Amino acid sequence: MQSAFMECDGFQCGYCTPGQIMSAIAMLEEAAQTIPSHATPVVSQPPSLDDLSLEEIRERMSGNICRCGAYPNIVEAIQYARRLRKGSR
Amino acid sequence: MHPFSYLEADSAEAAIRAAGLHAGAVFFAGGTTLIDLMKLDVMSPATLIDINRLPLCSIDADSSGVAIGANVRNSDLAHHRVIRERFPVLTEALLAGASAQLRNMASTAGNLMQRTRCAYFRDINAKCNKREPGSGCDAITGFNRMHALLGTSEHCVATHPSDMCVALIALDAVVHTLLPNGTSREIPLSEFYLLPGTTPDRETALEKGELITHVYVPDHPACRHSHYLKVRDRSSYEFALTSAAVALETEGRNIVEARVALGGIGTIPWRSPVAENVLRGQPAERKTFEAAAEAALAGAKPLKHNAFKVELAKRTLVLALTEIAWQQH
Repeated sequence: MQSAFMECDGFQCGYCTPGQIMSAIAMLEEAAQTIPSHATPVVSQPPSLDDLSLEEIRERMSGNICRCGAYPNIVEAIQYARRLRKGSR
Repeated sequence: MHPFSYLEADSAEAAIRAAGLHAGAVFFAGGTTLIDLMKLDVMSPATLIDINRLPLCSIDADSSGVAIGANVRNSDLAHHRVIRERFPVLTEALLAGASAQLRNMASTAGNLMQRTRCAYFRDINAKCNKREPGSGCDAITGFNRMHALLGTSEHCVATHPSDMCVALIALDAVVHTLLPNGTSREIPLSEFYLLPGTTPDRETALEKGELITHVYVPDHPACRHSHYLKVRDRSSYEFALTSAAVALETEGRNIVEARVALGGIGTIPWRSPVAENVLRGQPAERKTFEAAAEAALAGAKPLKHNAFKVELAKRTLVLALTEIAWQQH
């Protein structure tokens, strides 16, 4: 995830980055366990990690504020890390 | 922030005993409301009794219902398979509240006990009958866009902020407690919260030192067909302007059983028996839902800035009912 943030330029000042990275790792882990979120249309049918939409990623990262507004690249970094995670298996 | 003493209880009995021994003691679980309010000097308890070590963390389900331990974290409750499948309104309400970090800390009993987000309650320079009885209410004449429409009094118009409690009150939840004298009792959630009346500082039926041990949610065929819809100023990490928790059991096109509770507009989590009476026995269609919404909001008393929530709450309820009826087809 750290590499993905570097690769995708997922930060500017870096203040929020440790929290963003921890939340991102936990969020992908929860998604891998098919845990639903507020963005899940039917909570008894949560998406798989592969099917996690952008809306799901944004909702699951909600609560991590970035005053620099690096959100688009943070979401990109998480998608990138998800692909790496799948590739490593 | 004032100095306070801190002690850790290792059993429910020790916790209530400590509460009896220390004047001005409060129980401390996730701390997601209490610590904020202590920093703001809105609450200044002399003693915190940490109950996080108490073994009240289980979710025990059988065919008649589910018992939820007082210390079960909001995230664990929301994610639990039984809750997701049999009581979806509860999972949806929990996931609509706060952020993942807060849900990981916030406990079930703590959510029941959370305090209002009224800005005047949270500002010690403002007048607030809830914080300081008899001082007056700056919200009634002030900026009251987020305030309540139902259950208000001339002493207090603050909303109850919880999403979880709106779902639980629709599900007929019962609060189980231990009293300082060692006996236990059951309080239906519908009798747990007190309307502000002339004493907005008194918020629940709990006695001094009474400890919540678990919440019981009885099963009913309607529970599986339940839904929570929340409307707010931004799409995440925000309190409700309006919300609706609904459950419907239908036979053919007709509604056999209906549960309706509203959030964001009541001084307490607002169950609406009048709306339920309108729904029962009627076809599950828009006309019925609109009549129920009219009934639910009939007693609304808008303030200067929150009149828009009357129509918004009606539409929220109609949409929630429409979505759950559509799911059943």
